[in-house]
Amino acid sequence: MKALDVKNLKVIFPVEGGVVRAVEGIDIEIEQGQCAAIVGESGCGKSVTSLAVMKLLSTPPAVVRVDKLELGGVDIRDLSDKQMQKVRGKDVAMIFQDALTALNPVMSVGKQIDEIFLAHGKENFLDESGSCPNKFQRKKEAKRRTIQALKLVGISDAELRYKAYPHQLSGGMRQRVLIAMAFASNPSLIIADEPTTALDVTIQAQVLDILKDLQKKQNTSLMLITHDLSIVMNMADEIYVMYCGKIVERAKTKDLFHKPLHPYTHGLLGSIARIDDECKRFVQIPSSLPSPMHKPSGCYFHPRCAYATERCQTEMPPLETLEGGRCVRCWNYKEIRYDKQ
Amino acid sequence: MKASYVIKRILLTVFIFFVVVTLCFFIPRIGVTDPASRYYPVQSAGMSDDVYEAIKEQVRIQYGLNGSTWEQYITYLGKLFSGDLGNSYQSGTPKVIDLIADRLPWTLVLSVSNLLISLVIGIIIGTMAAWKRGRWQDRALLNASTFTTALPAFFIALILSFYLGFEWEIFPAYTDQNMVPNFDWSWKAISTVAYNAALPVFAMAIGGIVSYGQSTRNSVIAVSGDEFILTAKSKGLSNNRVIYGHTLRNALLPIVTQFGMNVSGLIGGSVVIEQIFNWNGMGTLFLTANSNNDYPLMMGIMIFMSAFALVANLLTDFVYCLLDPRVTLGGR
Repeated sequence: MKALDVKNLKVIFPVEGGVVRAVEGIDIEIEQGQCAAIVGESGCGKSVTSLAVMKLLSTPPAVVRVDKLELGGVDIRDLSDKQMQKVRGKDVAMIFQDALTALNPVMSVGKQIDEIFLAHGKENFLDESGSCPNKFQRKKEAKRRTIQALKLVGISDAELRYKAYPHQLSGGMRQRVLIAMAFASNPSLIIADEPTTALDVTIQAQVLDILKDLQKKQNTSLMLITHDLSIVMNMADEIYVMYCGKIVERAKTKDLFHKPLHPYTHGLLGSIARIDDECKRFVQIPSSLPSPMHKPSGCYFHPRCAYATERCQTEMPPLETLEGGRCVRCWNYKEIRYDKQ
Repeated sequence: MKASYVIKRILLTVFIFFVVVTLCFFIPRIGVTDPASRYYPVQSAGMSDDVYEAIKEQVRIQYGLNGSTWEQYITYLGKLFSGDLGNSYQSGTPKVIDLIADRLPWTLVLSVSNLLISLVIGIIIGTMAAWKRGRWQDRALLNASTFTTALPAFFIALILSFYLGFEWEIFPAYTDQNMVPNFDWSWKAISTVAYNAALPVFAMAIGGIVSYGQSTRNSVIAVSGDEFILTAKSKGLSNNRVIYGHTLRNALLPIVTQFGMNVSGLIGGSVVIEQIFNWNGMGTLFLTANSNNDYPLMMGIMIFMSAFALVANLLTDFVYCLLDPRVTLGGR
């Protein structure tokens, strides 16, 4: 069963003097228990994609069009905001980038996790006999579950930390709280938007370990959004490479690292530090991401591509599906021979 | 909040109070060689200078103005310490503290109702404007705030008093200082006071409502853009829970500061308005004292007002620290 099935997702922001096409028709499929990573530079539409899947973009200003949006086989495309409230936090949860701003500064972290249990109705609190506990008992039970969730992400003294406010915790600890929050109600899908970007490299590794461990244990599907290919290597089963609101390459992690097909993917891989590498310098992709309001003609990547031909300047290549479900959006991927890095 | 910090703040407040008392004592005496001079009888013909000096000394003793200024200051501090603000120069030399106690409730009627009306309506309007950001409700609030900032409260009071009072005679433009001789909490007494207080309170509250409205609006909009609001929504919380539990809880923190500042002005903030409507409060008492050179009464009122403001500021700081866990006064 697919945990997430998105077909032809488009997000447009009308701005003064034109429109910004943030996401231009992308498809994402994540099997239950799998981890899919969406990789790209800042501004390529990764975060907008994640918010669109949660239906958390405010419309207006955003305009969202999607042909198919299914969560665990359930169609959520036409659900109202009220109906989505029952889905969010229960079937799909989100981990944000900066835990300090993502947590309410004047509410203890424990209370913030409690809210998830309390928001999703009395039916979650039925005991064996089927009788419904009163409000006080529900609060007590929510606290017990919260402390359990905090312990699960390796927070020591969970009873003490329950009462702590976000500013009293370290960065790594706060990120663990966010992870505990996401896994609290055992959702089928978790969207992690740059979950480790705000952390030190050493803490990053710990947090990723916890994330991966919990994901495997609870058989949760994970949609990992990042610009950092090095963390994807150990986490993801499948990788979507995004550029300017379009998927340019989709491949199994091993295939992608073994043999990137798109010049952009190749460029991204060139900018990872590798310990077994003889290379003295990082290979960088020249220039920067074009403005989303004035995207280039033809293939969006052609101004920065070393292998661009005349055709690339005028025609947008289609997302071609190869054997094994691998996809690539490039006219010349068969001809390009990358130098060994 | 550490106990040592609390003690430090209280000691500092006491020190500031001492400075205020000193200033209140000396400033009126600057430039006046002998404050008792206006109470001396006229030197009648044939009266020897020695006798006249003796009479003057008698008057000085009667008003506590004998001895050097420093001696008077020490005496004043000593009496103040035992809670005695001295006697007024008014006929019958009533105790200053009694005069203040008599007028204080009247001023509080105006200022407390003004503050509560401003706060409650302001927060409601501000939240609505933030909700309807960029729509006509929001623009109306912005225009109103330009308007009320440009027009001081006393000007609004004059306009209200002229039209609603003199022209159309809906509310009294000039209140009867003896409107309720014996306030007995009867419906009649309460309604009479409310009827008379309507114009002054309204004149003051217009600015307050708009000011609280504008701050609430800006604060709510700023907090709505914070990421933790997105987190709250991603948890599947209801809209009400997001607004009351997360947005307003954070957005109202700066409002507490504004409220605290207004509380400290509860007694001294309505002097001009009281004068316009002939309201029988602290403001008119102070102006009367001022025009009569009634030093003990002037000092008493100023000291009382500043003591109130100091205590209000102190309490605001402590309350703020209870509301916002990030504020750990005095460090950990």
